[in-house]
Amino acid sequence: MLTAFVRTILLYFLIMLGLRLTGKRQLGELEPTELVLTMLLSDLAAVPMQDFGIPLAYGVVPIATLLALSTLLSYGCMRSVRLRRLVCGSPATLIREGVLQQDALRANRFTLDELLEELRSQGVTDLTEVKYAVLETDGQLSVLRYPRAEPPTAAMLGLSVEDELFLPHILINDGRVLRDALAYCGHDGAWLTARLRERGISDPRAVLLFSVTDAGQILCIKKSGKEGTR
Amino acid sequence: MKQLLPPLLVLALLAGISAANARALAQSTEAWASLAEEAAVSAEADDYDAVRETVASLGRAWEARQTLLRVTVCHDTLDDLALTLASLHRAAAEEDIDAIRESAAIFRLQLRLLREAEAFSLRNIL
Repeated sequence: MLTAFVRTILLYFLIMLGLRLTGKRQLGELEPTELVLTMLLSDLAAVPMQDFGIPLAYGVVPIATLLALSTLLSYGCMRSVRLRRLVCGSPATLIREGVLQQDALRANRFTLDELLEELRSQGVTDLTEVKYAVLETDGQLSVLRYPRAEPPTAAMLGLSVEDELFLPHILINDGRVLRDALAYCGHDGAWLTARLRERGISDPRAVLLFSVTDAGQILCIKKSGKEGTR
Repeated sequence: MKQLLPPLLVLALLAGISAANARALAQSTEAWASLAEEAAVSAEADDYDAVRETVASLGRAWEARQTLLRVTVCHDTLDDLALTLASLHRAAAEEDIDAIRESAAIFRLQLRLLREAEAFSLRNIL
């Protein structure tokens, strides 16, 4: 058990180091610490689950060790910028002021094709439109275009736009009335029943979705694919 | 700093439990190995009553630790040890000195391997 404990600590830091050395491209959306944890936890949990000859402690001890280590590391990263840089790395600017940073591309083993592919996925086909492209620590590429290439906003055009954006609160989800959401919106069961009756519905179970926005706009969709009244 | 305490406590607890387990296992295996050796020595002296008594007390000591062992040691290893112990019991009942000698030696060897496998050493870690 003690061997498993020490081995887990060693393997955790070994995989962390490996991922840091392989660079951000391997990561996807997870930070290195999260990726290592995800990779190791899934395997550790599976082994004692499948093999009954292995004591549960052989899975529990490494998992608890990993979770404690990960908590310690994330706390350390929160407190220390230097540790955070060491563990997660730092963002790399691949395009600066419209100029391709070839050294940064090479350092991050990011090919031009991959960069262009990432840019296309974000709707950019012309490299000269990009002012900054930053490879984040989680492997994502943040693209900031020149203002001249961005679609104009209402503020840029000096237009006065009425704020019509309201968050909808779901009050009935697949026939189930969400009482907490109802109370949060300041309504009660009687109000909901009345709104349903207005739409010819006597039972909430017949409703697939019922939501109301802060402005009082109601969306009601009946079950069986028949759209309700708005 | 308060946030650091729970993960540090978990790590300390796990390290403590693991170390205590290794120590307890080392003590138990040494005691069982001594009993097995004692049975073999008694057999050499043709004292089969002592052999049976020693093997019986070895069996009781072994059984008393089964719950802890099943929690901390791979079951295949324990099953192998249990089979050897059963052979030792049978040999003691049949007063077969060769079988007693062989079973006791295998049992001690298996205990030594178990103790080594659970010991905290660089060899095991690597």
